[in-house]
Amino acid sequence: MRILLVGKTGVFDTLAVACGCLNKTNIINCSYFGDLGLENSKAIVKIGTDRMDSELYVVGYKAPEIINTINQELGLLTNINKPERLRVIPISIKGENATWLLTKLANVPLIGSLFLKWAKQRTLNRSPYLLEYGKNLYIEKNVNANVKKDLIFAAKPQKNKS
Amino acid sequence: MARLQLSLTGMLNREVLIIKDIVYFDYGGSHTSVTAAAIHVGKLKPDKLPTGDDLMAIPYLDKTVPEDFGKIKHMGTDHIGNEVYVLGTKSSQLENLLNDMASLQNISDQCLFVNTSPYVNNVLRVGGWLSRSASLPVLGRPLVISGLRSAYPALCSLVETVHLKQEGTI
Repeated sequence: MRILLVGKTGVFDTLAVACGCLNKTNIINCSYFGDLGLENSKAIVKIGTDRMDSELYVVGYKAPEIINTINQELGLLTNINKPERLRVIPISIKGENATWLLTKLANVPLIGSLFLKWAKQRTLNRSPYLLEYGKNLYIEKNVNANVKKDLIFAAKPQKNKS
Repeated sequence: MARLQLSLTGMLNREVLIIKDIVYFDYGGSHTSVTAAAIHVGKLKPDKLPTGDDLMAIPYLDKTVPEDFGKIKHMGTDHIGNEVYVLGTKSSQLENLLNDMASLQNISDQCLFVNTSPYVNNVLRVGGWLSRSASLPVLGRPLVISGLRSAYPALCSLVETVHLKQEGTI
């Protein structure tokens, strides 16, 4: 299974969340961290594989829910086999708008590098929260999937019309 | 999974075509993408500059709402059986992401994404904003028509390039 996490900033906050999902605590070790070229290209980046053999990818996009809609539409259009289907998880991280703004300012000529440094530092400072968010997200998604598998839906009792 | 179509031209000449879903996309999915898709499916003629009425008769042109972002809409079928769609992505640079999503799901040989955002001129940008974002179609629509007419020759060239890509010439 392939999972795509979509947040506002791909290789900054969303990458930290993905690291949390994979139980990786050191974000700096991830070679893609703070790569502005990758962020601007909006290419999907593979972060790793989890214990369930699911591949985890990240991308940054200003409206994450739209990527989910596009993915669903693509699925309908092309009849993708279920095992090959990409699972898109749009995430909303507290405080990511400020990081997103800094990544945009990082593209400004001459002074951009200062903002890039600031954006990286901001993600690193928030890493305990972001990693925890990732861990919780991973647990929640897996628990939900397992619970849904085991659920047996009861028929709705008929109302007496008397 | 890619669908295969066998085209028998004569007894010995056999060629295999992979039918593709062609998706034209831009920011709003209501102007350049719709016009390019209309040219592709033959609703507009490449050798004749369309009038305002011709343009406004095209389905989805300047009629989308914010809820349509991310929805892939069918425009028709082209002369070799490919399905043609339009998409509004709320971004002008989403080609990499769309191609990556397709290749991760092993459908990259079936889908072709064509970005029409580079063909958006300033008149069209202002007109599109007035008509769709500011909900003032009375002011925006004449600008949209004018902008689309200016961009029309370039959009015809783009569609021609897509046709050549399909035929394997490029």
